[in-house]
Amino acid sequence: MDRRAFFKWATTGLGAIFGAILGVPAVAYLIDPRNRPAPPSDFRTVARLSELPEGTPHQVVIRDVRQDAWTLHPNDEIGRVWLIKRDAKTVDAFTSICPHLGCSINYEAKNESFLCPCHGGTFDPKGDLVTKPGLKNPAPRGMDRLECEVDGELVRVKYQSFEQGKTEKVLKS
Amino acid sequence: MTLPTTQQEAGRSPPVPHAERPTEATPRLASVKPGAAGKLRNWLEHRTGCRRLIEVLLIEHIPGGAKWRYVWGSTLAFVFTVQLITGVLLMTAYSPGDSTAWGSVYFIQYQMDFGWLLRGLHHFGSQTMVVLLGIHMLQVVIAGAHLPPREVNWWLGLGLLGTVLGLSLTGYLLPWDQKGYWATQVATNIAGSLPVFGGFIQKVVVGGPKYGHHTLTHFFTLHVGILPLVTIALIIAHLTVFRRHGVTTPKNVEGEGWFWPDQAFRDMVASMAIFGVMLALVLFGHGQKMEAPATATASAEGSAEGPPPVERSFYDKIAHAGRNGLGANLDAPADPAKPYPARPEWYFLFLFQLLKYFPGDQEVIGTVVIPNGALVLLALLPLLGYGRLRPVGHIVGVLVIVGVLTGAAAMTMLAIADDMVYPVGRAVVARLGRELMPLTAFLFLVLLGLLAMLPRNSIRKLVHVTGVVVIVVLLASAGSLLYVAKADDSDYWKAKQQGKAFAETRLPKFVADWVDSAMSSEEKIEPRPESVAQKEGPESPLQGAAKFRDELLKADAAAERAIRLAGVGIPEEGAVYLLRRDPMTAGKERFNQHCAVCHTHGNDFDVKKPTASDLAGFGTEKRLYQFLTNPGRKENLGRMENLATMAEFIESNFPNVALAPEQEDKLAPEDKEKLEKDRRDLQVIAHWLVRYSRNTSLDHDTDEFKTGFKTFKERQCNGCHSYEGQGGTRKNKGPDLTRYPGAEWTRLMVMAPDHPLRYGKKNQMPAFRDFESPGGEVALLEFKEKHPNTKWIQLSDVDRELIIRYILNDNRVVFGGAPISGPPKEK
Repeated sequence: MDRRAFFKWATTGLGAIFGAILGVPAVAYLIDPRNRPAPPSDFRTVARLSELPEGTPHQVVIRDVRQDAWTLHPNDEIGRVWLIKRDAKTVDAFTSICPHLGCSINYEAKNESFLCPCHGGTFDPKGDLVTKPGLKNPAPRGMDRLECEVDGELVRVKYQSFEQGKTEKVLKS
Repeated sequence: MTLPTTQQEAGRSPPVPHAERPTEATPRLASVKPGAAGKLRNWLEHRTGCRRLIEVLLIEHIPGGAKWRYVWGSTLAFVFTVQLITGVLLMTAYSPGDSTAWGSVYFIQYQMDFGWLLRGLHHFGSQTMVVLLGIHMLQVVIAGAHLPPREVNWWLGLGLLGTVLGLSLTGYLLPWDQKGYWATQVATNIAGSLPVFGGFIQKVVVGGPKYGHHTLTHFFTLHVGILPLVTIALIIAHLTVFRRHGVTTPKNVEGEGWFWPDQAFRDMVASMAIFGVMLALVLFGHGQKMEAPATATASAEGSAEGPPPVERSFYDKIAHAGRNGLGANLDAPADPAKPYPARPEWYFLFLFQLLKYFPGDQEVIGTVVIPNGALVLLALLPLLGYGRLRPVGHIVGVLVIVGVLTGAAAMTMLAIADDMVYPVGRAVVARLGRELMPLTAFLFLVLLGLLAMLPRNSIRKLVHVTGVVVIVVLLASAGSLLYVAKADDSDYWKAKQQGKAFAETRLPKFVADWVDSAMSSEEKIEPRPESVAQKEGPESPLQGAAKFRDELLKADAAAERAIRLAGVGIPEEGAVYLLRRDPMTAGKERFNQHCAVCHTHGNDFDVKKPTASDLAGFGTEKRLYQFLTNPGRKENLGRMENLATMAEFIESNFPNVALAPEQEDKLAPEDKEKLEKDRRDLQVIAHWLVRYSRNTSLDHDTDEFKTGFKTFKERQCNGCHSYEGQGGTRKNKGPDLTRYPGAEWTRLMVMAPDHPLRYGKKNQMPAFRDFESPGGEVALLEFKEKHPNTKWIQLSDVDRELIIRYILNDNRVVFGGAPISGPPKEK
């Protein structure tokens, strides 16, 4: 190898070493969010049973600890939940997040149906997908049901988030 | 187009612009090879002409050949590139804002993978650039490259000097820590002190009358937007103008060379060496170590330890090496209400030192006139190079730059010395600045002079090599002595803080002796730290530095504490509340203010007339056992005459438990046996009470609970003390012990000490209540109706929780909001 060729190789080689020393940590740093899993969920009290109207959906706020990178919110509003009291002892709970693309679902009392204001995802009061001729329903699946338990007078819900746009209900990790 | 015909023409001031002289002999990049890759390259070349562009960049003729001394400009460009890359990466995670900036930098440094490395490189990269700028300028004037026709490039270079210093200044504030906050205050206040428009400029730059959101957004915009763009534009202009005239070579230069790969190789090796130094600085570590985060509440045993250390993987150890102190420093969050011993970053220390020589009205001379005068002088240097003045311009240029650099180095040393407390080390550093720096500069100038005059022969070579070796040795010794003196200084002050003698200096003996002999007796008087109460003797002239060092140690402790607390999470109000709501520091202050009037806490406070129990170690098993074995002691209930029942009960039912070991030996064997059982029972009761007040899940089915509760009842504690509604039926009863000595128990004690579940009618303590919050007036009304005879003292909810957590050694920060809470307890 002559002098010039050595210079060329050495310069390129040193450049590559530098690129690796800076590049590898840079990539690891950029994909760091992989170290932040979805928070573990637990049952949280959201309402008193006696305060819920029977048969009509009722929206409540759910509070929990929220860790956002460096900030810790010890008692934050982390989402909204639709509760439907079926009878004196059963309550159904649905997340208000639309399974289509994640907008917040409203309840239309006059049509007795849930309607997503963004793209028109429509669900019946049981949370199921409404399919009828002439209706273009963009939602891939029915509203996401949340685990709900009635503990005496207290209604407790386990709040979870699911992936959007899929026909199957998949827990976000 | 032909090759330069003579070496003379290839030299300085070529009649035809340098870059416009490519020739047939100009090396081209390797021609495109056939094959798929070659075809693709041909396709791209045909459409974009990128090969031509790369050729223009790489194929530069260097008359006289490639030289190691031409590397400095390229190394600057290299470090600037590193700054751009690391800067953009940091920007992906940084959040400018009064309440978020510190938290985001903390997160980069301690939590994100390799954040410590990228931030460290960025931090030390900025300092490297300042050093390289100095060397580059020196190299330029020595070569005479500032003289015509290169004046414009000199001015462009000065512009770059300005933008680089501007980048340093603006970047320093962004972490929003105490150091950056207070150091930058000085810079903006200097702007404010300018005549006529000063105040206006300051207000606009700062974004208001005081530092806040807009200070950060302004500095952030300058740092990541405006200044980098200006710098890049100036670099392009600098390089373009440089290409027009080429490198500056001496007359009669021999040899021939090209940038690629001859000079590129040298530039790359030098850049990598500098990158190695930057990496070494990062790996050497200048950060605070992160102790186990203050997650857990104090354990039942009373230690404030967190959960046992988790075995960390190799990757984790490297990716989060910032937790071991590697990388750049992060001080405590900026707090306008907390003083800080502010000093600028080391490369601005000479300006800081300059201020000391111009007190009062003359200050503007030090802050504005001299620094700007020096800049104007630098800008005028090329103008001395016209016509026959050229040699004069060359010499003046060298003298001015060497003078400015020497002056800056000397004043930096003096500024460092002024803050040192170890008399010998301080004198050494001061003499380095005052004597060694000028001496080195003088020798350097002599060397340059000799090299300029001597003909090119072996003697000149010998002079060259010897001279360079001498200069390098002198500079290296100055650096080493400075390092050792600083290390000594730090150890010296640590020893002083502990009231010990400083062991032994690590400075070479001859240096220490040399300095020692020149010091006056007054200079040898040792300073005293604040904490050492030793007032006699004459005051040392270093007492000012001593005060500074004491404050610095406090600031370091605060930084360490803040980083430890941040491990659990930072309140949304901002990182400044980590320390403002820290039970162990702010809680301690509140305790001093509200509780240390009657209660003692070990030897922590100066309580004039203690009338209540000592609260050190309250709630720990050890302390409770100590209390149970001897309730009548002063630090227990001894200071309250109406609470003698407990002491009498223990004396009659648990005789001998308070005996000293030597007296124990005199007991009869059966008494000894009973004593052992008594002690064991008290231990069981202490353990049971403490454990079941702290544990979040009160599992009454465990054997531990059952044994404890059984012993509690068997030993008749429940005669006076109720527990979960049972017992406590005696007339002269004591406080309820449900969840004693946890936070809930303590809260009722603080808020309603006269409650039947606490001391009832025997109580002597005022109730500490918050009657000033919304609804406080209603609470006060009810309080007065129910407790007509109880004295009350205003104490806010947050302060109360701070005190309770301080007493219980619960490390968790008190978070604001409603309800007042802490981070969740460990499960």
